[in-house]
Amino acid sequence: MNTFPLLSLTVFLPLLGAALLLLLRPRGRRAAFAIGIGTAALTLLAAGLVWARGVPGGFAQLEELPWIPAIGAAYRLGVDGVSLPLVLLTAVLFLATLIYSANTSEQPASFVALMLLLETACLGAFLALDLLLFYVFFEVTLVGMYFIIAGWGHDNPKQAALTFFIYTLVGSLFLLLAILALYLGAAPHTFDMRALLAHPPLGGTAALLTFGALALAFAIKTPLFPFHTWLPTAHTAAPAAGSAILAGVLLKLGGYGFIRFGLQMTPDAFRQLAPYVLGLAVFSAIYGAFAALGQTDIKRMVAYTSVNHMGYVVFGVAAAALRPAGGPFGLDGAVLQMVSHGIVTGGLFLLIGALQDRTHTRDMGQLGGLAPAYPVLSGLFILASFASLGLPALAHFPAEFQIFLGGYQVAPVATALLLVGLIITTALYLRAIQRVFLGEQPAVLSPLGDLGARELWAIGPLVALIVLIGLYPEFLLGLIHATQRLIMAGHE
Amino acid sequence: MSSGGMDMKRDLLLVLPQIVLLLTAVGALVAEMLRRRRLGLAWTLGGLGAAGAAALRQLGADTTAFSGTFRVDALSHWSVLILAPAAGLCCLLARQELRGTPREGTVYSLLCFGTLGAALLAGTGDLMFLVLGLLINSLSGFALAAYSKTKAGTEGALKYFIYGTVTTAILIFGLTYWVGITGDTLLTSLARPDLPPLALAFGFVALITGLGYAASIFPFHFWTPDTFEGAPVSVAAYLSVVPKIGVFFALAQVGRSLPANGPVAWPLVLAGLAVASMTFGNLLALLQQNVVRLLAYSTIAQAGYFLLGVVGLPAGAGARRALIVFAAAYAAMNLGAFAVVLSTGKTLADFRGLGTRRVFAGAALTVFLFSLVGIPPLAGFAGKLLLFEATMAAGYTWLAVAAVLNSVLSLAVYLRVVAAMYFGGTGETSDMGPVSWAGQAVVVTCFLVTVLLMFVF
Amino acid sequence: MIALLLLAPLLAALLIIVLRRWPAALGLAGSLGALVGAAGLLWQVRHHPVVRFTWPGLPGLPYGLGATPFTALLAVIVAVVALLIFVYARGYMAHERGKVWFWASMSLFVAAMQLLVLSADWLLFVTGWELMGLASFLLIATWHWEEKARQGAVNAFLLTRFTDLGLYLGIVIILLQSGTSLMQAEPGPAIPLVGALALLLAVMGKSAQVPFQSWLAGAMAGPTPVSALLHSATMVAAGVVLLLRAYPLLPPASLPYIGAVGGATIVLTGFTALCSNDIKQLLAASTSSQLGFMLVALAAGFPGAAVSHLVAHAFMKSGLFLSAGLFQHQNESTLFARISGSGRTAPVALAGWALAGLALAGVPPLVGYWSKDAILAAGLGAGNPAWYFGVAAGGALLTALYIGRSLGLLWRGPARPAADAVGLGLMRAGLLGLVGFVVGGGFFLADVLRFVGYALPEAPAAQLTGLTAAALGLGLGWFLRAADVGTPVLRFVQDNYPIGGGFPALVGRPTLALAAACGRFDEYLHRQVLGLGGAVLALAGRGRRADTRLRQAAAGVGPATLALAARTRRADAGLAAAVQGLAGAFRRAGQLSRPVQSGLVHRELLWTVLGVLALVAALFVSLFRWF
Repeated sequence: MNTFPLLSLTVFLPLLGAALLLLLRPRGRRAAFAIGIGTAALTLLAAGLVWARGVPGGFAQLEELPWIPAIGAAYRLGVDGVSLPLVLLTAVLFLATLIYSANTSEQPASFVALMLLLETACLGAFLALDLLLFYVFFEVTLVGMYFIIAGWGHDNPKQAALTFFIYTLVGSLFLLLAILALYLGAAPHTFDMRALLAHPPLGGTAALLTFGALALAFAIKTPLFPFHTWLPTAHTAAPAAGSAILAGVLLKLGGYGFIRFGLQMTPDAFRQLAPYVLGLAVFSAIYGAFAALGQTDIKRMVAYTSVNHMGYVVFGVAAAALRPAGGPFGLDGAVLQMVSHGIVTGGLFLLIGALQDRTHTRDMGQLGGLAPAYPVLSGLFILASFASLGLPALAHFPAEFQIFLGGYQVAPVATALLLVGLIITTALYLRAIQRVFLGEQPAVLSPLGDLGARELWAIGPLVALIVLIGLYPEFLLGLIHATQRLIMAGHE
Repeated sequence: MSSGGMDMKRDLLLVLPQIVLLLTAVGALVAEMLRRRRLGLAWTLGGLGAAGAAALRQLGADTTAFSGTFRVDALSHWSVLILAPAAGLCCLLARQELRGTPREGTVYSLLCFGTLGAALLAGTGDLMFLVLGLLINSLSGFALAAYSKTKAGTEGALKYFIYGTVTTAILIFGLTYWVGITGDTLLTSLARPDLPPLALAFGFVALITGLGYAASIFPFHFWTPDTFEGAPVSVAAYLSVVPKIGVFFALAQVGRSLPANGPVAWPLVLAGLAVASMTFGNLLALLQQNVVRLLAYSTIAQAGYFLLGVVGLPAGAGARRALIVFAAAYAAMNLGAFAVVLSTGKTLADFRGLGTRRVFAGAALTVFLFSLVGIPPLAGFAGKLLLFEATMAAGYTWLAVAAVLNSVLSLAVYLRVVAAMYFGGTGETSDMGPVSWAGQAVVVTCFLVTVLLMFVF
Repeated sequence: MIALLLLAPLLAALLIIVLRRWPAALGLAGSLGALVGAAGLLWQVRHHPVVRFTWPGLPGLPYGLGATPFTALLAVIVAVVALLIFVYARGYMAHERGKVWFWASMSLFVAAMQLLVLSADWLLFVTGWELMGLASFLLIATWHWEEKARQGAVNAFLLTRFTDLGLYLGIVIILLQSGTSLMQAEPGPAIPLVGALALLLAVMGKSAQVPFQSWLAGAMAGPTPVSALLHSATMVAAGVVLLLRAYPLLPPASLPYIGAVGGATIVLTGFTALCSNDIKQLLAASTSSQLGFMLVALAAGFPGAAVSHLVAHAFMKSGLFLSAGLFQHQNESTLFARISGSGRTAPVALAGWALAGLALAGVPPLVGYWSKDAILAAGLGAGNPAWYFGVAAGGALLTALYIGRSLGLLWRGPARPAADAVGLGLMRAGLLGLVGFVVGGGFFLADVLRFVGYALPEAPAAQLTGLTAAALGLGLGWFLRAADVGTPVLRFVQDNYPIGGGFPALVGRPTLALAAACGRFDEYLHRQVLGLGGAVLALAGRGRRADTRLRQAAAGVGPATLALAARTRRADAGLAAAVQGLAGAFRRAGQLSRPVQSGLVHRELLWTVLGVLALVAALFVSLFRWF
């Protein structure tokens, strides 16, 4: 049983579903989404089995097939405590968003197929242990997301999709340069990430330049100031499901990249430049919070909070790069923060989608009094908001607290500054809750009523996870911590 | 050298692919005289296939024929294996573009002659073969370029002709110095340590001038955009691929014999030319509104990448393999791009909305262009990666870095076309007539090669 | 027992949300369950002084729950006060909107406070602390259709959350120093002063100390039971609990800061209470002031005095609030102008107010007498008695003054007929229960404190001062009039000293302006990025012209270079021959090109010549190296 390629199955199950859709070409919405949801559920099951099989710390459940032996590239998959939480997050979020968007009436089969393609690409990127394979999956996420925004978005989707595409393509080009540098720097030349992790190949100026290219690539993806301007644009135009995936999963590729590439493949360069990265992350977090506070569109507001939260992630990783002092807490916190942010922000975007379906506007100036009108929707939104502003017992707290712990050891002043972001986030969520949900019930209500079964099935599990992670983070932290100890020990 | 029937027979068998190419060209000419175009096309395709098959049979051999004047090695085999299918695809493109015009059959014949010239260049072990190959290639090229009798076509052809004759004259003039100092015409003689450096250097400059024009290396490239724009698209496609591959393989043959650490620091010179070609080609391509001109400048840039392979030669066999892989990738992606251009139009405006109008053509062109940039896992990436490796192995890290940076620049070039296809709104322009099976076949073939090449080499 | 104590109110909250029915009954049941649990816990710790269990939280930082006699006592007090307030609220909310919201939040609030009390590690402590903040936000916003309630809720949460950053910072420092999240029985070395001050910041926010006292006034927009709960055994008390927990870790240098904050609060908010025109605003200011006493006692080095006042204050203040709620219910207002004189027609409410108020003023044998005595004695025993004792005595006098004034206002004035309000019976029951503790509690206070391990300081001078202050204050206060004079100074004191416009003007508006500026800057940034792309495309649009210009430039450079080349050609005969050959070709090319009127070929050939020359030059360089 242990030789069964479970990882490949997990990665390619959604693609199979997509192929099935293209083969059958179901006309109806129901059939398309039945296939889509079924596939996503099976994928989640497979990911759960990967978890159940055990991930001791280092790379486990390796799969390797020759691919392009001439240049040392191979089909290599493996999972560790950094990638597994993200894989689980991906599987959960895709299932939730597919359930949520099951009312998409415009070309449902194409939509589901694209989503499934995107899921394969995301899972593949997290599980790939080969630079080339990673890059290919990384690029496919770009293409998939582009079509989802351009095809099913609102307002001015083409323009937003183009901005997203160009921005991230430029980023991935720098990633390609860095990959080439890593490949050419390794002796013997190889794309095998495990070999590169075990013996970081570059040193001196070459490592610094490579890390610079990596940082730029992932700073765009994460995104950090000033490379973030594509994010609010893309979010505003994307459909709710697209936003949830974009914020929930795709941004994590940036954080994952900072850990897997920056921290593990160019550790010395990262350590050397970590103060600058720390500074940028702090600025990004605070700037993102302020920019969010300045928004009137509730979706744009949540989009900007991603800049804030992902700034914490990079802060945690950079603190770990300045090891040994800041190592353990910072890295643990950063990985958990990615999961928390995925769940919380994914949930928030779905809730905003439900809100938009009912009110047909996202302008907070025009909304008000929704709490008495839609108690369940409002209650869940308030809960998710408080999770997002870092309330203890909810998902972000254990992550952010560890990031603060890790950060305080290496940069007390920067950490104190980072705390300011927390209060701004609080202010913006309170303002949003006050303006949108509190107040006298509006005169005209949507015939849709409160959240329906479809929406509850999509959002409910996410909310449950928010509470679970908040109360018992150990179920993920145990995994993360084991790997983190290996990473930090490997680079002492 | 010994003589005798056995040797002659062996030598002829060794150059069988080239002989088949010659017969194909002649046969196509005969078919044209008989006014049997379909037969001519069929004959040409069959002949090219046979040449390829013959080359395939010899794969692995590493020897010489005709007293060392013709080298039967990986370069010559692979030149046929790449050029024969490429020429076949060009014939199909020509079929779509020129079907029914008076000199349709002549084109097939000329394409084969040109391919023969390129194949001879690729196996050259002797200065005479080098000149012969270049002339056969150029002459058919002149005739092809002048095909359309428009003003632009004539101007382009004339420019090509003038450049060709002048540079070939310089080439022959310079090679006389080599013959003079070595006493014979064999390339292997150049390895002798006692040659006067000045004459050796001058011969090399002349060689670069003559070959550089055919391969559109900066600063011998000036004919390229005008000629491409004036000539039929199928001919432009041919000119961008076949002569170039022949010439770079010939340069590689010279590079095999010319000592890198000798009096002539030729890798350094070529490295400088490579950077200049890449940068110049990309910068000017960025400024083009006409897709054919854009591709023309892009071939100048890609010529710079080919030079990387020649620069890396002294470091070992890796460079030769890189050259071959890149040549195959380049042939597929460039021909594919021209094939889409042929069925779409020449200006950027013609490409507006292509991505939604003809989904496969748009996707295929995107793949070709991204492959030209060198994005994994497309064929262009494999070629460029091997080229970078070879260059770095030869100690030219700065050249590899410059090439990588140029790849970044080239993304902007090709992205403009992609952007027009997907983001430019729906253009009002109609396509250039119906797409024939021939053109479609070319696109599909090139697409498959571009996508799958990495998995098979 | 701990599980029952925590889960009963929590489950009640969840059930209320899910079922959306029987909210009051479920809330009461939860509260009762919590009381049973608390009582059981107190019984448990009689035999085993420490009950504690832990489970994994963050890596290396476990969660822990536990009880000592002191925390068990606190839990019981919280449960008792909460239950009585719940009983009262059953009547108070009988006909109000938003019952589900109210009861769920109340139950959550109690659960959070109990979690805070019983936490044996800092992570759970901060969890309880922040959950209480969330619950208070929801509770103050119960009547969120009123602007005042929304604003009060947001201000309360925002202000306390801001000061909570100090708690985060302090806990980070404590954890990094001790290496574990568990609160140690044996205190380690004291934390640095910055950590202590960070913790003090959190206390100032939660316990509404100067200058963060204003949120408490805004919080009055919530229902009165909420205020009662917030001001007595929960929320504001959490700040003092934090100080008590962290007390062993505080460096001596931090104590004067605590004393200064407490002292300033006693005096400033005492004056606010004295000037207040609203019975609930009076209580709000009084709460800040009374908590200031506890800080002063702690700073003086007598945590026992602080604990005694904390316990006594819980009963006194909730009693005061509940009777204020009765007045409010009868008159639909909390302004003295509208309720003065109604004491004569509401004997139960007045009796409750009078007893609890006299206790607060320090009249024996009520419970407040004992605790205020302890604090005055603590002031005498402090290292700097002039300051500590002085401020405590002044505070006692202020307390007596405003209580006396409120009694006078409630008694005098026009007779108001008692309105026919609903639920008065339950409300009175809750009030009477609390007053019972106020009256009888004083006799057990010292024993109870001894049981949980704290000693009460005693000093005859303190007793005498306390009695004098109470008598003097109550007597003078009776004759003070309603302060309806609109003088600016009075208004300034009433509005909690809004220096420079207060928080909205000093912090709120600048922050929002900065945020708006950030938003605009971001759009500008985005336009710049898009503009960059547009500029590249525009450059491409000018492609033809640029191309032409480049050719023209080439044409200009060509002859000049050729001239240069002509001068250098004498250097080598062979080179000269080549150049001559090229020149001939160039002439021929020129002739050939004339028919097509190109005129460009020869110019471009010059580039080629230039290239050849460059190559030759490059090779020459390499040759020199070789020679």
